[in-house]
Amino acid sequence: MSAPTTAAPVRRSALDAVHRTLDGRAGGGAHRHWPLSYGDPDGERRIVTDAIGLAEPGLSDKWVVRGPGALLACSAAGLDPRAGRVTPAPPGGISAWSIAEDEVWLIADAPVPGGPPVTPMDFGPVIAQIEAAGAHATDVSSGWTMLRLAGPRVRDLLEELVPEDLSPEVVPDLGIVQVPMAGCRVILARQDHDGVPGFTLLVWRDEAEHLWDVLNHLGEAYGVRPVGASAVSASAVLSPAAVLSRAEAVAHGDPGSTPAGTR
Amino acid sequence: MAEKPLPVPRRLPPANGTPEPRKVRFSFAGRQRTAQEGDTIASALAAESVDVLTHSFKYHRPRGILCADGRCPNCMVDVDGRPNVRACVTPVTEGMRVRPQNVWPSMRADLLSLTDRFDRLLPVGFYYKTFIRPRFLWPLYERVLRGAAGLGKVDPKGHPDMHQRRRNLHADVVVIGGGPAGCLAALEAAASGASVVLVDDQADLGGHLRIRTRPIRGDARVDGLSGRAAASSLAHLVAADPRIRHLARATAIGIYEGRLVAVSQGETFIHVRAGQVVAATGAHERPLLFHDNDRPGIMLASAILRLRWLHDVRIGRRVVVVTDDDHGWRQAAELLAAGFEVTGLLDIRAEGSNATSREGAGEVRRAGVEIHHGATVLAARGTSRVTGLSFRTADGVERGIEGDLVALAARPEPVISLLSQEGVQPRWDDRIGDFVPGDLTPGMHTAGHINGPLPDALVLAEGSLVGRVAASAAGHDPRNGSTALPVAHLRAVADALAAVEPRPAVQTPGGRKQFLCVCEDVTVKELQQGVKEGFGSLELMKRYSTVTMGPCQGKMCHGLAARVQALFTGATPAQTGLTTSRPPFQPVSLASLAGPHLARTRRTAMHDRHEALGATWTDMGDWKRPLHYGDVVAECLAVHRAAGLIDVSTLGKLDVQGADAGEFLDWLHPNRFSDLKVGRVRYRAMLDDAGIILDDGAVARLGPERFLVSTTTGNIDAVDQWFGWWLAGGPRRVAVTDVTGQYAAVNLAGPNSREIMQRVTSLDVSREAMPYLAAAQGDVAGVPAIILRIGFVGELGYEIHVPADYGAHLWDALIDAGRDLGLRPFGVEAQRVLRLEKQHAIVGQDTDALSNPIEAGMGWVVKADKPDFIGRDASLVVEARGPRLVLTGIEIIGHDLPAEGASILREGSNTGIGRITSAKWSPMLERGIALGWVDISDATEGNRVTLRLGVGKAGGTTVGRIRTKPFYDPAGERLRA
Repeated sequence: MSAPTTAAPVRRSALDAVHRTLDGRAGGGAHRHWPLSYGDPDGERRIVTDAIGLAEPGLSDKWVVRGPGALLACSAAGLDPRAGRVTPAPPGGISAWSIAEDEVWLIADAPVPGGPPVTPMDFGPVIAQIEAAGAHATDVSSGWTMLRLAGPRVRDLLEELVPEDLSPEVVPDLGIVQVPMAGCRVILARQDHDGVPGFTLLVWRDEAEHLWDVLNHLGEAYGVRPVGASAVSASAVLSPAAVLSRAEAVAHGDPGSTPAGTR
Repeated sequence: MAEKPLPVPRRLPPANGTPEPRKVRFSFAGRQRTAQEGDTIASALAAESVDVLTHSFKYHRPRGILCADGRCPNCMVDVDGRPNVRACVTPVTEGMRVRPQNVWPSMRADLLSLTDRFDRLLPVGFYYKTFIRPRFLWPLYERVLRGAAGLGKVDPKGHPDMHQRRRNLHADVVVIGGGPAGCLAALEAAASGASVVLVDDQADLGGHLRIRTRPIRGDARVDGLSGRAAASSLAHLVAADPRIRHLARATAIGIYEGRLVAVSQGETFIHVRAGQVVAATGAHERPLLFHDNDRPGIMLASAILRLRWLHDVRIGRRVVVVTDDDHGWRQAAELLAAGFEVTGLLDIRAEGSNATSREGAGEVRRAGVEIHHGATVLAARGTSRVTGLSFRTADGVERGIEGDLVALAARPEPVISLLSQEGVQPRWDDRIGDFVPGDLTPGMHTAGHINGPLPDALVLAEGSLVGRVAASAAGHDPRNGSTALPVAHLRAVADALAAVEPRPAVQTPGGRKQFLCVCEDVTVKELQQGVKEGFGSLELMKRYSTVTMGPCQGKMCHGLAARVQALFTGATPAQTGLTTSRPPFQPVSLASLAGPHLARTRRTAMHDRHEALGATWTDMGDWKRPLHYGDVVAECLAVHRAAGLIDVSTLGKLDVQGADAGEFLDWLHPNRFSDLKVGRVRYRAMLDDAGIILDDGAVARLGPERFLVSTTTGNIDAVDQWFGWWLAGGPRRVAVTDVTGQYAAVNLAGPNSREIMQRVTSLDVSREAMPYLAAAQGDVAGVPAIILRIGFVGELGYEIHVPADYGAHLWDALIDAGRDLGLRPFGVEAQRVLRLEKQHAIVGQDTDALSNPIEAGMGWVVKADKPDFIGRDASLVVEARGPRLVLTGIEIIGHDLPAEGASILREGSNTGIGRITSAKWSPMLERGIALGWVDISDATEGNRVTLRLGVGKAGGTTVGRIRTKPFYDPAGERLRA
């Protein structure tokens, strides 16, 4: 059998074409393409503090643990899940999004394009422990897209799309709800940062562009603008702060940055 | 035409130091007009001396402003092609084009206004009486009636309104009504810690206080302030409270189960989910009855004051006030304070002992107003605009009184219909002679004038108390520690209502045009005639005469209709009751209910690759799929002769794991999966309890306890739910996860596909190592993949699933690898042709809600030896009785293709024996081919049938021949190659 002669695989987000249209800027070293900025990192940060920034924070790896006892199985694997809450990841670790007793999402840190090489998270040992405890896990890294909405007017926008009450009293910081949004199933976690309200959204990959378009369209009234991953601080919750610092360094100083999605 | 400019400008000059408002230009009835910023359409037209805004619905009578409050139909106009817009509450904007309604061909020469002259020909129920014979003329009648009827015209060529918004709000307490009681209820509830949404249909808070100069007392926050100053003060307090969300110009149109309050705010439709609801909807003036009581210039007193104080428009100079209550005296005093000359005050009540002590009596008498107690108003004077009234004095003398305005100042009626919709029954209160809210449903509260004509102090106190009670009921600590209204307050309310002079009986002085219902032009005479004809029940009368059924939803005539009906039936208003109130409280556009267009679109990971290839798209459910890339024939032939590549990511996919996964799939399907070997694939058809085919696809066993289940594109959600439903609460150790989006999938098919595969994977893809129906896992193009040796298109094929983030990479790699081997992308249209050549059915296209697997030609999937599965009993019944119709191939002789659904006839007769489900031209076979359901007795190999061509070719037929085996490669050798 002759050896295959194809190009090195490039992992592309569901919004790859969108980012390219917007001239998203990212490094290409990690073979994972999504934008750190769209060319104006400072302006994008101001959008987050003044209006609403919409970003795809990264191509993270995700597994879903389902079945009776999923929460207990994740506890047995040392993940400390709490129903209805996000348990932030320790540095380099896995955050647990506990939707219910029988459904927990495990989300790993996303390597930063252009940053130092990051060893992809090896879920194997954790999954083995979970399965030993009687639950079942499925890799959904590609199946779901993560979006981040952050800014003072984020609730105004979400009020147009989400029937559920998203007030801090009902959905506190790190709280999770599953909601219908513009016809899509969305898992939504409140992740305020530095006093700026924010939500992280998980949406099916094939619906991500539709939801992106809807958020931009309806969000126009609230000043929604696409911003790069470096402008949102999801990493403060999803991954160690060091990742954000690396991202900022790349966005500001890496002369080798290339448009996201180009080969 | 009613445009007779008055010598004195109606627009009042701006107060000293106030800058001149910006001018806004718009048109009305084709003529340019000028408004001031902040004007409504109606106030701008009133300032320009336009008194007639539209014509009435039935008699096409000229109508002008009546309520200036958005309740009545008298100012409904067409704005920029949008019909039935209420001019009195719609802000005017630059360039707006406003047209009157119910005028044809124009307002100046409205031919249908002749109906006003011949009203005797149009008695109540004339539709039912006039158009029943001759019966054959009904189509003509209907056309004429439909042309004349209706409110406004929708332009079918108009562009859909794409600006609709939807919002979802949540609050501990929702207060409906922004008058003094509502504002105080909101402030007190918020002070108790509750989150509050305050819904008010006006631009500014304060309710009737905004048009009142008299001082108000009873709450320290507004004590001693004029009504207008108090309104402003309350508005500031509300605005300063961060716990209160004020929705201005917003109308609560319904209260639904679970205290969901639907609110319409311009182009935004809002769902407010409330813990508690406070209805502080107040009370409104309504018309009084006399001949020609709809003349332009006859207005509710509050409407005149509203134009004066809110828009600086004095719509006339000399006002005659008509009343049945002390309220009229107060309004007369307010009109005097607003700079009007009050030429007369006609009080239909006899002069009582308290005549001199009435609030406002001093001002009225000091101003020398001509006062008549016990007066009966007979008729309006004037034609296009009122010039005065004829009335009869208490001692029977008929007189006239002049005025360019008539202010109707009947005692305001509590606005209860919103509560009635929610289930609160109206209750007749004998003390005041009005309907008030009956027993409240849980979570509902009322405050203020909705409970009757309470004095200021009690209105203010009640607003505050109810706000605290509602907050408490929502789980917040009230400042006074109470969860119910104090007894002392309830006693004070009872005493106050007992002291109210009962409302006198309604006057119907005579004349043909005493309009009871201005929406539908229903007169007192018509109601009287209806009662004579036996419509003694108000609910029946409503349906017969259409009273209370117009766009005001009874706001102007609900109570009045009950009183007049009672007058003619001899019953009391309490016995007569009100007609049923239904949502919406205020008309709302269908576009507003529909909301923004947010239908989801699903795109595969290779979407932009297809776009770059110039794909023509087709919608399959929510998915976008390439129908073809420009040459369907070439695409079909490439698959047969070289290789083709199709994106099949849209197939549903479920990851089924667990110790009981195999047994669970056995239960869900007629065939068996528990014995499927790891690394193998098997066809699945899923049945319901009646043995009907729900879905089909494939099951691949990827591990001892792990299966990948594929479904049809459109059925994944239903299948996922079906799996979940059968798992719920059961003992099976199975976890099901929808992984449709996780995997991008392609089908690489054709004789060259194996060689292409060899270029992108180090796996052994030979026939021996990876035979037909194998399931392998390994890297393809450097990406971990699941490879299934299956195919839908009849050629050697590999269905390759990779994580979707690598879908575009896989596509690129395969296209690159197959370029020199004739690889060509193909779309859904080619796939449909190719599968038809193999007689592969598509569930939902070739099957329907009556199709079972035995008759659909897949009886082999039914394993009757299995102990049980869903649909087993029904399948066994079909097996026992034998098939009646079968799904079979039909070769078409000739070039005409029958339409899907076209009839199949027994040759040489007109006897229907079946129907076509799919028909295509096969470029490979160079003939038409089809699938169809055919009676078993006719479904024999080679039997000739007649095929109707169907849609678009009615009457045409062609000839077909039954083919029970696949048209192409019947032995399946190419597929298994």
